[in-house]
Amino acid sequence: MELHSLLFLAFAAVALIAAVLVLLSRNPVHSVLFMLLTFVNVAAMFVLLQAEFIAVIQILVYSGAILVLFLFVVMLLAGGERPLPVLNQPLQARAAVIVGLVLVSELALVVLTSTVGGGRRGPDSPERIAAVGGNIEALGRQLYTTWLLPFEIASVLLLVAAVGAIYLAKEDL
Amino acid sequence: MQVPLPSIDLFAVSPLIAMTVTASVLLLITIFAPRVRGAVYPLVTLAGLLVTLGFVLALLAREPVVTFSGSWRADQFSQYFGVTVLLAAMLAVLISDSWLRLHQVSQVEYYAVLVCSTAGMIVSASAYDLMTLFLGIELMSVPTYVLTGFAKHRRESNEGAMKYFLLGAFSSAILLYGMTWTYGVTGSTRFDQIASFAAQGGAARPAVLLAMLLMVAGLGFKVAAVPFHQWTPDAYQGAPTVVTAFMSVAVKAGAFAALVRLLTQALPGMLDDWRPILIVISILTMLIGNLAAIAQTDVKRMLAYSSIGHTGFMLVGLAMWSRDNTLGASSVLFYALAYVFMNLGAFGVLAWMENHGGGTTLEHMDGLFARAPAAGLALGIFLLGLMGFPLTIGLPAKVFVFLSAVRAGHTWLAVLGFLISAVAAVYYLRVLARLFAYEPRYALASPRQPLMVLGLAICATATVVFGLLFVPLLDFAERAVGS
Amino acid sequence: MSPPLEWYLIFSALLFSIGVVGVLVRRHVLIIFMSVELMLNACNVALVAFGRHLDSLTGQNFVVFVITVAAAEAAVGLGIILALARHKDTVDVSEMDILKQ
Repeated sequence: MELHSLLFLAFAAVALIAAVLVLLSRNPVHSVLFMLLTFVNVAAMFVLLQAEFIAVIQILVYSGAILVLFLFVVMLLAGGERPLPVLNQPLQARAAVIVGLVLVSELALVVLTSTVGGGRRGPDSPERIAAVGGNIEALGRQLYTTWLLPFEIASVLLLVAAVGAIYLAKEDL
Repeated sequence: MQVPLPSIDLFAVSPLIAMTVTASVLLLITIFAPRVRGAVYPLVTLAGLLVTLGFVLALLAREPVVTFSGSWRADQFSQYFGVTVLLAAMLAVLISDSWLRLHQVSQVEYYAVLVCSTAGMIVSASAYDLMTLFLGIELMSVPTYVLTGFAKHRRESNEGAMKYFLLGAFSSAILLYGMTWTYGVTGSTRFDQIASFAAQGGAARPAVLLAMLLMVAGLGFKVAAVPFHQWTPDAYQGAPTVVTAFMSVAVKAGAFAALVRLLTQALPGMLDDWRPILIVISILTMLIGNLAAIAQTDVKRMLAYSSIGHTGFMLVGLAMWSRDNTLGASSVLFYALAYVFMNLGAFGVLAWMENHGGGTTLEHMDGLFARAPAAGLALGIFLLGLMGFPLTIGLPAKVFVFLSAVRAGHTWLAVLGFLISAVAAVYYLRVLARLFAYEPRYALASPRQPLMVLGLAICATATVVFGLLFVPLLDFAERAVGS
Repeated sequence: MSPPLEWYLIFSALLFSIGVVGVLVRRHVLIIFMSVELMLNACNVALVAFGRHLDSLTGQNFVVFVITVAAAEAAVGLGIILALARHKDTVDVSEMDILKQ
């Protein structure tokens, strides 16, 4: 089997096992760390897909900022070593797992029976991306021209999220 | 190195710019002039919202414009929802003022967050591309999580915010997965290109169906459709009542704007797939929302369940849409605007009572008319409107929805809806009886709430006036859908 | 292109489903939120995979915005959790029933 395929299988396996362990861990700190493992493997997958910029911000923003924020909050909440709530009542847990299995099979069925990918092709073949100067160049150009409006809206979203988060989290008078 | 800018029509996005500027001005005032008088903030917010409304109305005169490389469509549809959510926001500012001052809640964050949420709704109504729509939905939702938890010293506010946030984030992820599949199958995120692809049908059908289901489910959460309604009673009851007043009407309008545009402009070719789904969901939603409301003893929670019921009625309209029966969609738009006046008003009166030291259980409603005639009358009008009583705007709202069902050949659905409304009248009448017939049990203190009174008066007047003059509104809605 | 698109999509489906199960099964609010993040990551992988298959950078652009949204949601969500924890000891959603009649 080709190297890329082998690498993909390795990353996918680790990512999925780590994801399941996120759910099964009793200690939320462990969950956060398994989450980190998932994210790093997803970032590796992005590299395989030649999305280098996304891979880097997956590490910097998702793992480096968001997960660290999670860790802070987990630590702040850790109120002692008492056992933390894990699963819902067994009946509900089993129902949820069944839902999950049904969901996966349906999604897999969709993937395998549809001829996906007959859609409109874009102009950004690897050759053209390389001609423009690489992934970051090409992505940046599109982000600031074609997707200018969503970009600006995202900035408003970040502003209001910051204002809201500070209001909620701060201790006051 | 030259990077070519796309064609930008700034006037088309002027409402969004105006709202962003308003929010920024509010924040700047608090940074540079923190000791300014409290009355400045609501006035600045209202001024900003009025300017935005001015832009929206000015845009009404123009032809539809697609700009920013297909991300934004400024047409009558977006301006209709612009008017709707801006009215909701302005009324919300009016009724919130006294609560904020009474409880010494920080005003600037409240208004800034409120304005940003409204901006998100305008984006949702004008988005012509999946990315913009997703960002609009998020910009609308994330501030409302904050607003729900705004009374952060009260446990129920925090809990409501928590539940709303978790389910909201969950539904956003589902919506996103639907958008992912839509993009993957069609190769584009633009609504017009998606529509032309879907028209071809073909071997990707299971995937397209999946994408649609996921997107409907994701947006279904936001409008509180069954079975995605679980968060609504807790979030509505836990949030400060003035926030509930705004959320229940404005978020619903924004989410419906997204849903209507998505289904009628991006996926019209899949009508035969989404219509049966919407029919089923609408029936479940009407039934569960209204029946559960009957069992409630707290009026605030009762109105939350009734809110679910009203979503059901609106979904009937949407389900009945087709190119030949645009009343299906225009009835939804009409209902959304009517709902702003009635429901925001109803919650507003509850907030007024709370400011006066009252509560929101049924017992607190006793003899309200005797104690405070104007408040009792206002609440009476709003309840009659929600019930669908003649002379209020609630009646044409329901009639148009059911009429669209008849026109689509589904008279049975109209009859079912009518029957459910009749049964639902029970819980409205129960409160009405207490307002007018019972003896008052609780005393009311009396802080002065001038802006609140103004807001409620506007709502009540609109409910009655437009109950009679509903034709211009319907025309507006029809033009909006036709654009 | 190797590995084929379908592999990525199946991985995305599996990760998404794990996230869904996590939201439904766990009671700890942070774990529930982390499960939602898993779902978002699944979407990101699918988006990038589709994009590469279609020779379009739109997928990657979308991912940039998704990560932005995730960051905003995380900030607000964690703010809510902190506000909540300040008044309660528990972060178990099944104990949050003050609102139920």
